[in-house]
Amino acid sequence: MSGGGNDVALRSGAVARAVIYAVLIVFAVYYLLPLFVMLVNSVKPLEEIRSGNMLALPEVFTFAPWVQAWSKAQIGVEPTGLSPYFVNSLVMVIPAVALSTFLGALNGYVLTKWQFRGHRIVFGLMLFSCFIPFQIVLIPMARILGMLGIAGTTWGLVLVHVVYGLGFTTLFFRNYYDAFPSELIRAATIDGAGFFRIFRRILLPSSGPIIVVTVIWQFTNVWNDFLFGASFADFDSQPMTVALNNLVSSSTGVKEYNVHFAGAILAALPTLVVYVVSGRYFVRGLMAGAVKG
Amino acid sequence: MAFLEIRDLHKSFGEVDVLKGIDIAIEEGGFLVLVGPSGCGKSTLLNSIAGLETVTSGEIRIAGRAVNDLHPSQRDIAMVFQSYALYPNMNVAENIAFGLEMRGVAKAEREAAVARVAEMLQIGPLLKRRPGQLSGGQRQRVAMGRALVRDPQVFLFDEPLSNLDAKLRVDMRTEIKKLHQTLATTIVYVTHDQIEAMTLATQIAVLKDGILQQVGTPDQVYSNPANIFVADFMGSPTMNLMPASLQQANGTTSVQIGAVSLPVSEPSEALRSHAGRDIVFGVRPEDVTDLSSADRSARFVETLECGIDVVEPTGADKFVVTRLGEKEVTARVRSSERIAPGDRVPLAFNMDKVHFFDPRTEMRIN
Amino acid sequence: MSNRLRDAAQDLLPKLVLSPSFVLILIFVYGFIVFTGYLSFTDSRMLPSFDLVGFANYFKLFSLRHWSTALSNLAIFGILYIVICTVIGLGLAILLDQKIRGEGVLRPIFLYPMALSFIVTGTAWKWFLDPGIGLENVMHLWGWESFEFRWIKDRDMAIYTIVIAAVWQSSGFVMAMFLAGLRGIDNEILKAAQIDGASAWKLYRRIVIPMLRPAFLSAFVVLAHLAIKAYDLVIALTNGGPGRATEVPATFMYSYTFTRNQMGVGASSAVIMLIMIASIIIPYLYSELREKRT
Repeated sequence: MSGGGNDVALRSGAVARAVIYAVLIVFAVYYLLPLFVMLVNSVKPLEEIRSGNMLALPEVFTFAPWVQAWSKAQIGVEPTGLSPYFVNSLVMVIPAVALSTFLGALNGYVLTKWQFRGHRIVFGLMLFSCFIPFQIVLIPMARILGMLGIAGTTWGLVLVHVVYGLGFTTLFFRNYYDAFPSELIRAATIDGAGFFRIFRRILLPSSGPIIVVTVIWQFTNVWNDFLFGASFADFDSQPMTVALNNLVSSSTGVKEYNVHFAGAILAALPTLVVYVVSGRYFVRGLMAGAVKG
Repeated sequence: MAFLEIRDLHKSFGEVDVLKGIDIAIEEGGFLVLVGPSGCGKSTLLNSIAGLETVTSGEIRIAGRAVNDLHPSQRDIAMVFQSYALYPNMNVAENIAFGLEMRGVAKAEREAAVARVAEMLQIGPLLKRRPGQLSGGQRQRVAMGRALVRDPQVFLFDEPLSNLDAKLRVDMRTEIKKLHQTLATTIVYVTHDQIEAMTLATQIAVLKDGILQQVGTPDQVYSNPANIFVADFMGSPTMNLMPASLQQANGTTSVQIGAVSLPVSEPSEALRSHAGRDIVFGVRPEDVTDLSSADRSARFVETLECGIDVVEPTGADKFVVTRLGEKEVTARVRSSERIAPGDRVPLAFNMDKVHFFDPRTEMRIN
Repeated sequence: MSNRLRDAAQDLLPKLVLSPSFVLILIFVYGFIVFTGYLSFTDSRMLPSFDLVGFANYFKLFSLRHWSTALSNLAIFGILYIVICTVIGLGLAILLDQKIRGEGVLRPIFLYPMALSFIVTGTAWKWFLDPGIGLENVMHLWGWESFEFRWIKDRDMAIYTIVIAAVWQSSGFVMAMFLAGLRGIDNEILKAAQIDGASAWKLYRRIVIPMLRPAFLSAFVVLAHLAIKAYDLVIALTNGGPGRATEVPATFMYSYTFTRNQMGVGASSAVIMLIMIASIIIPYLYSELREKRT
């Protein structure tokens, strides 16, 4: 992705280039517009949104909507704001990402460097699990979580996200380790290192980039999940996305657009920060997830 | 008794037989080179000796001990890989010491061993660097260091020079030869480069399609190739090989190539029995020369007037391409010879060093 | 790496390490699919029941107006989403590949929506498209009094607002896929084509775009399966409304199973969704994994 452009570009005149830049800028505006709308209107008083222009900069600048969204808005029974749900999401995301990444690394290692009869079928079955419509597992999952006694808990959501993240994490590590020279494994075998030692001493120290990609991918997916959160969480374990949706679509009272926008930005902030800080790895993850096999 | 012994070794991957009954033995301190075109099974054979591949049947013995059922790390071997296989996350010293560490050798002892090897290979200044910071030649040395430090019974080399540029390859070849002369450890070395095989080996084993074609000293393999494949594979430029027929008249045996006839000196019983039949005639370029370069110790030299098609100077010599029957023949002449394409010049054929093969079995006729 | 010389324990170890993940997948994915499949043939309502009723749920499903709405919405949404994302993605990728100054700034702008939750995207577009405060109001304030844009409140047009928001979220990602494909094309082929006298237009139409076939295929598979799974965005943007006008299979399944207490019908709709996705994904995965083999 980061490589320079083709040596051969369209040989085009100044007019053509101006058109190209114009089109690109128009699209940049299209992509930035919703973010701009959210930002600008999250610092306006409600009255100014209702009577004013959504695309205009604020005349009166206020942080009140942010405070409201974070710690005061009525979402559940109590007017707590989004903050407890933000914490719920964090508490759910961290173990889910760590576990699924760890298991994916081990799976990828086995599926490339210790292949056995049928390894392709095992991988194929795991890979297909990335694509299933989750509606197909909702009913039995609700029952199993109940049977395990973790229905409605954060741990229940962690389990769900680990299971349905395994396909992707395994895919990432498998593709990465596939390109890892097998001669290194042979050399280490002759040197006397066993299964775990080869993993810990030879592969893991070289896995930095793919760990970053996997963690970002999993973090984004788990943080942004709505379906599982809406299906399996109780009031006290609801993740951020569910809380935001409740805030925005609650039909009672006045629609506080400015609070909704502030809440939406709060919900988007962690993944946006990850994207800004490590966009390169984020894109690599997207590509790895799109180009299978 | 042989130090490394391979008996009736078979290896199949599913339906495909990669090694079809290999028998090789080499004495202690020997340098065995496995050579052959890609896909001939030489690397599989080496990996089988290392224990990195399971053999289908047959036996491998090192120093009298059957090692078939031993883990690679217990066979007392060390290996240098084509890609060098240096651990990218460890520095040079750690790479070299890793095998010792896995065997539980104490730290002080490991450091001493690394220092000794670094001294031997002159890589002392590199010890703290990572493999990524090294040149190809330096990586090669480190890979050898990793093998040397273990002081194994057998060294295994898997095309170790194929990733180096031409000049470095020649230097490292000399270095490996020196190392072998100093350490006198048994070596098995895989290459597809017949010049490497000739220069390094005490024994050459030529493989093709999983079958051993010939084992012998470099001189045996070069001077008495067992079949057409070996004759063609060893030597550069390659041996001139052409269809011919063997004639017998008035008590002399001669070989008929197109319109040209060359008398054969002291034909053997086996050769005479082919009289009147088609054969394949072979002669190396260095045995077809200008008259003044002809081997003075040769007893039978035949001179033929030949038209020259192509002249290829190499500096030390000139190779000229002429025509015998319908086949091109390469001859080696002095570089001072003034020959141009289109000339007709007399060329001397050293009939002591010609080869005959049975076109049906492709085997040498002695 | 096979080696009979390893201890028996060492031999088992890799499989042992893989087995927890594999067992989890077997139970939680394939076991659950079987379970849901079974439920779709039972008379389950609020709670799962195990009394078989044959294909009754499927007959009922396809007689429901909500389900046919969901299917036709999916068709409209899916086709427009895939086509528009592909066109925009390919177009932007080709334009960005013209040695553009500021590519490093533009690319992340095109791509960042992919990092957002659909709930966030839905919230932003919901209010931006709201006639009362959003785009329509802005145009009126700017003096275009007759401007009218109230698709989100319109039963017939609301599905297209979902397309707008979904394209906004995903087209940058498709652009990245095509850009990677473009950058992967051997420069010498392009030089050869230029020496052969291909114009810029011909160069792209005859050489470049055909060579992007794998990128087209990947983009199609990713977009198609996202379209079938679309749930969050619909919930956040229209919540299936106005009325049930923007019902899609995913929202249908959820409401029939969990709020309308018709679990058997819900399960059968989930099975249909799985069949739709599998018919796209399985051939794709099969060919991808096979290619690896040779």
